[in-house]
Amino acid sequence: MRQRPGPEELERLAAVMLGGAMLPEDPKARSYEQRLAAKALSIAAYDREHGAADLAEEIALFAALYGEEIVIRVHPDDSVRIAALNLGLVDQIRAGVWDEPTTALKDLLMMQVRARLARTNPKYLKARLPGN
Amino acid sequence: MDQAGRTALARWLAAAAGVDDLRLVSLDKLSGGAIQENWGLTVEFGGERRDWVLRTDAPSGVATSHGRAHEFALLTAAHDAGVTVPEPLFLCEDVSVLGKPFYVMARAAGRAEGHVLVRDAAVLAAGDALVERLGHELARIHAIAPPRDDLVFLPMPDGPPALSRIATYRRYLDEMPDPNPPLEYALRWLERHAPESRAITLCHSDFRTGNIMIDDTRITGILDWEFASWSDPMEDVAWFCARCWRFGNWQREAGGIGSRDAFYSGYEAESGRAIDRAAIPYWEVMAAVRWAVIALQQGERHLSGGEESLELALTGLRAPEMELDALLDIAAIEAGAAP
Repeated sequence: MRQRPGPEELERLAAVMLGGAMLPEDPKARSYEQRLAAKALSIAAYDREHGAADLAEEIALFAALYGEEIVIRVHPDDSVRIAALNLGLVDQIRAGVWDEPTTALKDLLMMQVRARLARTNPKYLKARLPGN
Repeated sequence: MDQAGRTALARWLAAAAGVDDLRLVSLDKLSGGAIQENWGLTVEFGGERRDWVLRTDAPSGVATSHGRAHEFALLTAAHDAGVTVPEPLFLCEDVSVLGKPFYVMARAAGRAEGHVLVRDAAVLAAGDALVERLGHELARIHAIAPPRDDLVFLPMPDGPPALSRIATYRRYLDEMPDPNPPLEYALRWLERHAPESRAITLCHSDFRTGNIMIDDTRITGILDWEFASWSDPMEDVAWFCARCWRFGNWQREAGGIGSRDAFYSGYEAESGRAIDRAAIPYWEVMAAVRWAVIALQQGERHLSGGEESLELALTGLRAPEMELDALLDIAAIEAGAAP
């Protein structure tokens, strides 16, 4: 489930921060505000390129955890479905249902974190998990 | 601050200092401080100039931070216990002066920015000696134990401090609309493995690189006491060593500055007590969860519509760094491979 804000909001915030100015091509020449805007735009670009694939992978891992039929029945819309699945999982974790975590749960949690980091800080992801 | 505010401040400072010739030479807002506002001021009286810092509330704070009067009491208790802190000078709770409470302390020389210090050649050359001294500083803080009449405003944890923290972080997560299974998993793991704390002491609760003023290689002040609490002292030890506060200098496990052994050695020499090494990896998972929750709270300030800010939105998006740290640290502990 993608962490907010999404690409439209990030692009809007970047546009407000840049105030119509162009980003300098040389990253070293950028001011603090320009660096923030560049970061927002890079995350938005990631969303547009990988957002759908990340969502599909997450749903597939929920299917591995719960069974495909259960996941399909949650809701026909993928974005509503993934929110409902995550809400349900959080309740289960807190209630102790997953105190003996299965490989499927560990895979799902790690995928969620990997996908968020690939989006927001790929450098950190590569440093902590070489090969990603 | 407008001229009327400056005049009122100068008049109040003169009375507090017990002098009649105090002149406010300069007053400048200092950078940083999302929760507090810091002003650098220079005053002159008795023929001498003095550099002070005035600390007051920022327009938007974090719910758990102490008010200025409490922070002044904490700073005073630490100063009296021999901790290197800026000398606390005056507290003003009369809101007619500046419109909000404030206090004044001596200005410590040096710099505190974590990302700068962990790349400073002089700091790194003296890294082990510095963190050993920081171990002494932290042990002096932990020598302050309840009950204390001057710190009665600090609530005692109701049961093991770890469980109290977990309840707090869950409450914060519940205030946010988006579910976070990795953090919930880490919190549940923390709940199931919560240690029985051996002692409850005063904890700074934000003792880390970035909140420590260093001048060349000299520690000049432990700053930012607004989160201080009665807790398990190992929580502070782990917060200082947690990966998220090494500012990318991961090999130097004590604050990105020096070795864990040197830090522990200073702490143990000062306190006369052994660090509970088995408990530290647990508390480092807690540290990762805590910083992730704080980052999400900052992001939520934007997402909720309360304060539009790209900076806050991007701070929220840093949470996955700590989520990954928490998951990897838990896996390492379970595999018996924790540091």
